[in-house]
Amino acid sequence: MERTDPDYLLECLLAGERDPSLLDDSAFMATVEAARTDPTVMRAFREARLFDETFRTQINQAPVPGDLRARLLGLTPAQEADAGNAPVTDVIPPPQSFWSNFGHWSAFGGAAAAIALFAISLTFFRPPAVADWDPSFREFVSNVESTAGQNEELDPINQWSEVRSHLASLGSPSPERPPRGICPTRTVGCKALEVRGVKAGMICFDTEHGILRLYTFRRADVPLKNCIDAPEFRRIGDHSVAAWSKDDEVFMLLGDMDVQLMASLF
Amino acid sequence: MTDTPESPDFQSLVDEYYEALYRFGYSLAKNGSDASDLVQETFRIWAEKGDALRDNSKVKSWLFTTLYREFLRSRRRDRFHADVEDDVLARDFAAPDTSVTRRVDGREAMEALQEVDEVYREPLALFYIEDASYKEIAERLEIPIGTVMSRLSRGKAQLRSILRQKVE
Repeated sequence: MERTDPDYLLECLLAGERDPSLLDDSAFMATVEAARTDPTVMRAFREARLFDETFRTQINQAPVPGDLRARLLGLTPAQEADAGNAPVTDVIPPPQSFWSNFGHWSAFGGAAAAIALFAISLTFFRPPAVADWDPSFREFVSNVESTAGQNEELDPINQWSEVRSHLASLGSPSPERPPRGICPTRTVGCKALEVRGVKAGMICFDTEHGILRLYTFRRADVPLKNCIDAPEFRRIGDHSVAAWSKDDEVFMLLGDMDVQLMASLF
Repeated sequence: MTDTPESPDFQSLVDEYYEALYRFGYSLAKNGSDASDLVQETFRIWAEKGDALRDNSKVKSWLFTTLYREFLRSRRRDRFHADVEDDVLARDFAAPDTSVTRRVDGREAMEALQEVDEVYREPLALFYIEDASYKEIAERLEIPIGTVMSRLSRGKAQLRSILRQKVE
C-alpha cells in the first residue's frame, strides 16, 4: 500500500487506536494526523471499527465441541508425564467394570481407601456455614435479591475484558475475574445499576446451573461492618447468595440453585 | 478469588482460554478435529513447560503463540503455503457494510474466515479471536508492523467480499 493510499491511511488510524504506543513514532503520528483531516477516511474509519466489533462478536460465538473441556481437564499437569503424544481419545481412560478390577489387590486397596474416606467425610462433613450477617447487611442483601432480574435489560457484551472496561466507563466496579467455578466465557451481559441508591456493577452468566448474577459494590457504600474474607452463603427468597469482600469492594453472587452447589463454585 | 492468581491453576486456565484457542485453531486448520488436537497439544505443552513462564500477564499470549507454532509444525508447508502478498484484491474502501456481518451467525462467521487466504487469515484470526494488538500480531507472525497492516487491510477486504456472497 502507498503511504497516501486511503487504505493505508485507514489502517494507520485503526492501528494507532489499537496500539497507542505506535504513535510514539513521529512519522506514523504525522500520517495519523493527516488521516484525521480527511472526512472520507474518517467515515471509513468509523465503519471499519463497527465492522471489526461486529465480526469479533460473531466469530467469538462460533460453536466449540461440548466435550473438549472435559478432555483438556483430563490432561492435568500431574498426569502429563503419562500423556505424551497420546491421541485425544486416550486422555480419559475408558471406564472399566468395578468387578473386573475387584480381584486386583490395588483395586481392592483403592476401594477400601474410598470407603474409609467416605466414612471420615460422614464424620467431619459440614455443609457451608449459614451466614450470620449483621441485620443491616442482611437487609441490604435482601434488597439486592428482591430486585434481581427486575427491569434487567443487559448490555450485550460477552467478552470478559470488554465487560470490565464497559462497566468502568459507566463508573461501576467489577471483579478482576469471576469465582473459579464460573467460566468467563459464560458471560452474557452486564449492567450498571443501583440498589436502593447504591451503585453496582452486575455481570450475568448463563451456566449449566442456570443464570448467575455477580454484583460488585464499593465497600464504602455498603453497610458491612467487618470484612468477609471467604464467601459466606445464605438462602434468601428465590436465590442462594454468596457474599464476600476484598479490599474496597463487596461481591455478591446470586443464583437459583442449592446453597451447597453455589459453594462448590468457589 | 477475584484476583488473578499468582500462578494460574490448570482448570481456570482451560476455562478461560480453551474456547478462544479452539476457534483460533479452527480458523487455521479448517477442521474441528485438528483444532481440538491443536488445543490439546497446546495445553499439554503448558502442563509440561508452563511453570517456566514467570510473567503471568503473558499466559494468553504464550498459549496462542504455542498453538500457532504447533499449527505451523503440523501442516505441510509446501502444499499449503503460498505467498500471495502481492495479489491484487478488489478494493472495498468506502463501505464495510456491517449489516452483512450482522446477518451471519458464529458458525458462518467462522466459515467466512476460513475462506480467506491463509496469509491474511492468520493475522485476522489473531486480531478477531485473540483480540491481539498490531504489535502482538507482528511478534507472533514475525513480520513488520507495516506488513500486519497490509495483510489485515487486504484480509478484511476478502472477508467482506466472502460475507457478502454468503448473505446474497
